[in-house]
Amino acid sequence: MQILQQLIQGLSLGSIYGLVALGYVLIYQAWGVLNFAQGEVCAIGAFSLLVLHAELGMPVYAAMPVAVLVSMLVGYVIEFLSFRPLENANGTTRLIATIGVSICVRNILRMIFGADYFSFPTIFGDTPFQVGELILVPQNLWNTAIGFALVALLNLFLKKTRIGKSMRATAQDKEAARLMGINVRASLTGTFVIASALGAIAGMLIAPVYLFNFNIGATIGTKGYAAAVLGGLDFASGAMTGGIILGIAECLAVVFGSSEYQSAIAYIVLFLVLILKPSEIMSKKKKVEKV
Amino acid sequence: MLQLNNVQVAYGNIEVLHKISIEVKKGEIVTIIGANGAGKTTALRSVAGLLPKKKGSQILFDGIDITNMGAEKIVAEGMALSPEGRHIFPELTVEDNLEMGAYLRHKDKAGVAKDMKEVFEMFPRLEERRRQLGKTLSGGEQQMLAIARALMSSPKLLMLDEPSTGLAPLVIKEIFRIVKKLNQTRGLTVLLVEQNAKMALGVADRGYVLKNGEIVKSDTGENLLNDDSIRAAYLGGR
Repeated sequence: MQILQQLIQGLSLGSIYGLVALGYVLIYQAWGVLNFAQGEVCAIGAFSLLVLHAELGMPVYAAMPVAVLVSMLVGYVIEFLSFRPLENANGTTRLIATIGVSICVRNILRMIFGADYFSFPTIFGDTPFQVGELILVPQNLWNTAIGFALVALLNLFLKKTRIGKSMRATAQDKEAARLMGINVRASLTGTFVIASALGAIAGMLIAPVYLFNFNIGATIGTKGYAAAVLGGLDFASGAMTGGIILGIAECLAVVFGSSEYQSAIAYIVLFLVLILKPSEIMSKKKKVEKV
Repeated sequence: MLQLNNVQVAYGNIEVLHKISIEVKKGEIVTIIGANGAGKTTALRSVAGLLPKKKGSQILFDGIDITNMGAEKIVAEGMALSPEGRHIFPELTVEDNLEMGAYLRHKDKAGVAKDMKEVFEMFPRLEERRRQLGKTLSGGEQQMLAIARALMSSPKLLMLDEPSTGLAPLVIKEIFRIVKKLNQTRGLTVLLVEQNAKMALGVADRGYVLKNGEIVKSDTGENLLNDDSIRAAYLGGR
């Protein structure tokens, strides 16, 4: 029963990791670069919600969309300042620029909010209830549901709508996309902003169940990165699978080891993938789309 | 319909096209032939708006100056390029590839559906494979898809860059037959770039010979086919 309990917990964490991973994958497919500032966008989402809801007293359902918009705006600024000027630079330069952005954003957050931990207001309730011997927390259940729903929605958008298809076309062949009349510039920016929105939502969902201070972006960014790499940097399904495997692995580590091992799992995963399939991390390769 | 006046293109400091002038009239099939590296692909790419042109160049399309227009704008004016190397979208289905070809016609759903049907009649193989990903097609099928995708924008001028590359003779024949048919039945204007000069001159009304970035000769397709110097240089002698 304890294992089942941890599996449920792992699924909940994992679906959030999957959302963060999806942000990495979207940007990687479109821009050919891993955006290490993705975790920071999650943090921006969480902090925006904290300010709007806890400080300014906006009701949570109004504050969430506004916080998402704020994060999309921040995402746009990041794209404009650090991605666009380096579009033709080599991969390493671009990668390092994203690390620079992440350090910069993290320290701005630290200047504003200090280094203390915040208790994040629960969004969906944190009063546990019992089903048989299982103890369930509404926030965790909602996190799972929202994670899956967003991935499904995104998948639908990318596969079924004209704009979604044009974004995938752009990611696959920019020049051919131009020949179709697709505005490649707008398509790339759109992809970035959507990835930012996903990250922000992930940040808001995970902040109530995590240690939450200015550094949350680094933590959640690493998990999302590990999940994305584990999923093969592939579209929706890969990222989600990677996230859930990582989430469950972390929670099982608690059962069979100690909670101290939990945070090591993401690094172990990264380590293993780097040893076993190093080529997938740095070079953008076209892969089979599995859905 | 299309007029290139003194078009100059350079990659960095190296000029690849030296003031070339080409004209394509409405309803014609015009071909540009020449050896590898003569600048044929560069010519088509610069017309399509994928390359910047040097000062003094001028490209007119259907009365509009498109010299400095970007590729995504030029499509809307009624020009489509089936690029060298096909450049189909590998991870999109055949159907989605075609839909992307009609990307700018989203308000004309009925017209797009009709063209999709026509394209499938023209290339039955594509219809059989409509739900397959682009990358799973054979080379010939990919070439057909590239042409079909270009047609989906409902162009006035269709530009084809090396459609015969890497294909079996029978497939090449089929593709040229379809191009000719499009020209005859629909009055589609075609600008064709080919290394396979014999095939190209066989279908073309007129041809230009490009050598080291300059037009060295232009005549009707038939005359070029029978021209001794052309035969020696581009048609395998005798």
